[in-house]
Formats: sequence, C-alpha cells, structure tokens
Amino acid sequence: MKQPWERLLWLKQDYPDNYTDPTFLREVSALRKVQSGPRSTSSYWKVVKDFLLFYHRILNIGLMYVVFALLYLSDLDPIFLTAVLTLSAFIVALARHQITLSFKSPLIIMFCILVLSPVLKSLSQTTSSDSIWTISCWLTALYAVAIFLHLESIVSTNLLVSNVAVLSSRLTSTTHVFCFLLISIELNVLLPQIERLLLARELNTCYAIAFLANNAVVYYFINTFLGWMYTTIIAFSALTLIFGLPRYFLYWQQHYAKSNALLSKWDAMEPILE
Amino acid sequence: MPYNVAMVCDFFYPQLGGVEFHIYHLSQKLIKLGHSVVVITHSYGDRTGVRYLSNGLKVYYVPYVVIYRETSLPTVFGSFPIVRNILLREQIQIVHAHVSVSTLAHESLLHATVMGLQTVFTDHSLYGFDSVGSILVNKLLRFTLTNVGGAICVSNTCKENMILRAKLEPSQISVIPNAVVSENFAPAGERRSTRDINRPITIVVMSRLYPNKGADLLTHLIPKICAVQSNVRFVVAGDGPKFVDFQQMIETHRLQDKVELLGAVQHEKVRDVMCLGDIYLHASLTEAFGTVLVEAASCGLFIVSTMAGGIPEVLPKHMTVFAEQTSVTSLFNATLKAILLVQHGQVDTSSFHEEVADMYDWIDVAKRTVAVYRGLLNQSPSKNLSWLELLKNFHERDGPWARCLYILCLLTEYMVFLTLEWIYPRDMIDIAPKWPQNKE
Repeated sequence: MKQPWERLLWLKQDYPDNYTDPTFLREVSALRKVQSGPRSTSSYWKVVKDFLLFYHRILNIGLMYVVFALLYLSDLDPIFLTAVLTLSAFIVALARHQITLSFKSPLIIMFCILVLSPVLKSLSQTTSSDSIWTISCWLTALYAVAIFLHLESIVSTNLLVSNVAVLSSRLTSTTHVFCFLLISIELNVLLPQIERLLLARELNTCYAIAFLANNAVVYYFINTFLGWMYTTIIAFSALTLIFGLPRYFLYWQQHYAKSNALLSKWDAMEPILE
Repeated sequence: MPYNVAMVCDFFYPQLGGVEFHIYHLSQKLIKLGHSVVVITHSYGDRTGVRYLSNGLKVYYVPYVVIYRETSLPTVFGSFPIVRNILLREQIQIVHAHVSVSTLAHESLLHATVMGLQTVFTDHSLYGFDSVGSILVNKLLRFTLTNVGGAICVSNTCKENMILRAKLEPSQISVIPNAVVSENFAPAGERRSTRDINRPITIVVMSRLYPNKGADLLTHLIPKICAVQSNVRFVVAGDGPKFVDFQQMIETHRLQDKVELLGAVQHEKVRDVMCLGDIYLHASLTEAFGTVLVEAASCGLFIVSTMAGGIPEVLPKHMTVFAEQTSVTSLFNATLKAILLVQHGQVDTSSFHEEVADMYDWIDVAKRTVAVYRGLLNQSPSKNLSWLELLKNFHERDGPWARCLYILCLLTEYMVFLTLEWIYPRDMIDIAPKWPQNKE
C-alpha cells in the first residue's frame, strides 16, 4: 500500500517529481475555471453613465474655450455675457438655498479676481502665442486627467486657474481678463456642481436638457470655427469615449482586475497591523 | 550518460542572491555527477567573456545592455547569433533557463527550441495576476514556454502558480525544492542542551527590510514582545527602505538594549548571525520557498513564521510555530508560544542540523534535475519538435491577436536561423574541449 501523497517538500515521497495528485488537480481546475470564466463585472450601462459624466465635464471645458474664442476672435462685449451668467448663477444659488445666501464670499472672490486681472494680463505677455496654445493644451489635458482620477478639487482648480492665467495674456483688455476668469470659474466649478445637484435630485429631464444644450453650443462653435471635418472627428471620438471605452474597461475588469480571492492567492498578503 | 547542459540566466555571480546560488550549486553538483555544465549570463561591469569557476564551471559573460535591475535589454532575436554560437560550440543538449524576469533566459528558450534542443525552465518566485508588471511577465512566459520541454518549480504553491500563469500541463512541471549547503550552516559549537532559564532568549530576524518581507509587522510586533517578555533580545539583520522604521521603533519604545540592528550582512557571515539566536522569526508576506528558513533550522534555530506562499511545505511541524494570519496578534501569539517552548526546554533543536541536511541536499536536487533531463532526452520520438509543429503549438496557444504575433515572431526566428546557418555555418564553429573529469 503506497503512502498517500502529501503536499510537503521536506518529506521524501515515493512519487516522481512531476507527480500531480488528484487533489492538486481539482484545486487547479477550480482555479482555471476562475481564471477563464466570466467574473462579476460592473454593468455596462453603469460604466457608460460614469463615462458620460466625465464627458460632460470635458464639454464644460469646451464651453470655456468657446468663451475664449468669442473674446479673442470677435468683438464681443464681455460684460454683458458675464453679467448674465453671474446673475443666473446667483439666481440658481438663491433658489437652492432659499433665502439665506451669504454674498460675502462670492464678492471677495470677485474682487480678488478684479485685483489680479491686470497681473494675469501682463504675466505671460512676452511669451509667443504658439507657446501659450501649447501650454494651455497640456494644462487642459492635465485638468481632464485630474477630473477623471477624482483628484482633490484643489488640484483641478489650480490647474484650471493656471490655464486661465496663461490664456489671459492673449486678451485685449483687463476687463476681458476679469470676465474670462470669472466665466471660466462659473462654467467649470459652479456649473458642474449644479449639474451634479440635478442628478442627485433626480431631475433627469433638466439634466438632459443641460447636457444637450452644452453639446449644442460646443458643437455649433466647433463647426463654425473649425469646419465639419473636425466636428465629425471630435463627435466620433466622443462616441468612442462614451460607448467604446466602457467595453474595454469591462474587458479589463474581467481579465485583470484585482477582485478574485482565489487569484490573489499569490499576491503578497496584506499585513494586519491593528 | 553525461549530458551537456547550459544554464541561462541574467542573474549570476558576481551578483549574489538566492537564484545565483541555486544555479551555482546545481551546476557544481551536476559536474560532480559527471555532466558538463556551462552558464550563460550577461556581462557584469568589466567581467566580460569566458571565465571559469571552481571545478571547471565555465561561465559565458555575454556583453549586453542592462536596462533594469540587471535584466538585459529584450530584443527577441538579437541574442540569437551569440547564443547559437555558444550552444553549438559547447555541443549543448539541454538548455536550462532560470527566472521569469530574465530576458536572456526567455530568448534562449526560443532559440534552443528552434535549434531543436531540449529546454527546461525553472521558476523561483510567485507572481500575481493583476499588476502591470506581472501581466507583462506572464504574457512573456506564455509565449516562451509554448514549446518548453519541462518546467521545474521550487514548491507546490509555485507549481500551481506556474500552471495558471503559463498554461502548462501539470505533468510537465516537476517540483524540486532548493537546498542548503549544510556544512556552511552548522549550529554554534556549544549547543546548550541544558538551558539556563534565566539566560535571555535571542530572536533573530534576517531579511531585506522591504514591505513585502513584513517589515511593518515586525516594527509593530517587536515592541509588543519586549513589553511582555523582559528576557528577550532581538537581532535584526538586513537592510532596505524600512531600516529607518526600525530605528524609529527603537527610539520610540526605548529598546536600545533589547534590539540590535546589524544592517546588511555578508553572505558568509549569515551563519554566524544565525547562531546568535535561539528563535528565527520570519514575517514575510510572500515567499515561493523560503531558503532562509531552511538555513535557520540548519543552524539549530526554532522557527516562527507566517504561512505565506510555499512556507508551510518547507519544514516539518516540530521545527516551526506558524502564525495563521499575517497579523500582529497572530505573530505575537506564535512568537510567545515559541519563547515559552524554548524557555522550558520543550523543543530539542540539537537534531535539526542533521535532519535538515538529510531533507535538503544539493546532490539530491541535482539527481532529481538529471531525472528531468533524462525524461526529456529519452522521450518517445512522437513528441515532434519540427518547425511546423512549433508553429502549430503557437497557433493554438493564445487569443487571436497574440497568436498572429507569436507566429510572426517564430517565422522571423526561422529566417534568422537560416541566415545564420548560411553566413556562419555550423562546421565553421570550433568545438570547445571539455574540462577533464577527474573520476574518484
């Protein structure tokens, strides 16, 4: 009668080295099933929704560039636009907080921006426009990444303000700079908050209208300024982002994500320090 | 019948480490068994060309660009000319590659299969499935091990891991553990058979102080032990990024006279440090085999360890106390238990040295490895290694994209091979004379 095989290295056993015990095989086939079989993943539409929210933030950035293009390329009076946006921001905030709204902090911020405007206007004046566009492009990319990774809001806000500071030097007057900075903050900080609020309160129709309006504005301007070629390319990339990437994400989640207890058997164990 | 074996690995002497010693000792014992062994590695500094180590172990230091932690630049085909030359010159029958992060090892496996030689691969560590690094290594492994003859793993845990990572058949993988040179790990001369109960107990910790070696557990554990057991001393040997944490722990808990930090210890001093202690404490969070445990036991120390990876397979129950979890509490209880056992003389460590010497011997490892070689060389000719068959194996190996890439690689490899045969024919390559064997 042969001794049953034991999973021990120190014991000299009467089995060849490549002997594979049936118990060992059972374990392995269970593991293989785990490895190749479907794993619990997030639902596709939930991921699409997350990507949609991210895309909406990108659109908000797009709005900022639309405003910049308006101020930079056409003789638009910035004060009117700013007044309208700021007023509506206050109205929305009043509606949200009923009556008790402190005007103090918004006013302080506005005055700060006012004081800073001349500085921002002259800060990178001597830099050539090409450099400014490049720097702004990279800052925008970093800003998008910061949003995507849900970094602390201070990081993204800093990136936003530096981007605006860089772009400001291309505008014609201090008033323009002030208006642009204020509008940028409203579009990229306040607007997303309002939109999030709409979603949280399940005012889906309102949110959809805001989303569509945002899309309409951005794509109208892309079409006007850059032509239909670019519109098509950008729209196609957007669709890929919203509907294509989630598929890839799910694939990744299914094959590689750290979710399975059996497969993480070989990772370094977590030290429990108490 | 003596075999001509080439060990291929990026890691070898003058670098020191577990893998390097494994290759060295295995080669030495294979030579002792009458086989001929050469080692192929990349050059280390000005150590380039052919060198000889003890007993005529010939080492080829191939001049290569090193990119990261002594791993050479992956080129897939770039190493073919020189590797082919060495393999032909040494009349190699078996290419034995080591370590899954060694580029040179992977490339030579591919070259050797195309040249129609037998291949063996040994893996020494465990890999996960979810970090970018391990995914890359696993993909690479899946490619190069497609046509491998046999694989060797150092523990059963390692075997399971390997089956999943490389999609190999379990019967292809042999489990052959590491070993120790037991003469180098002899217990201290005067083994106190009758313990003075008042003599302090010394606990040795010897590991690189990295997070995955459980350094954080140790910095929490040591003060707790010192608080309850006044008669315990710690000797911590090893260096690493967590060294400062140990210094801070000593400062915070005022353990200057209880804990001694030795820093990095040279390999030949390891035994002397081990012999300072009664208990060896191992808090590692991941381990394929754990040679250090065997070394400690061989020095006559009682072992306290976590149960990470292959550790539970390594030593018999009477030599160890295991902590069920990698938690401070669990390790604390295990250590206390060990201290009490040693204090009351309930463990007899005097026989550990002989027992371990009997369990883990390099000559045994070498014999078992030769059995793997023999199995490959004697296998029925039905195991066809024609080029068409290799292509077929690659085609059945992986997903639709990978499959195309694999086949493309293999076809290129064939072309390189044919070109080399044409511009540098076999019969132009001199055969190296073998080191004379002195038969005892």
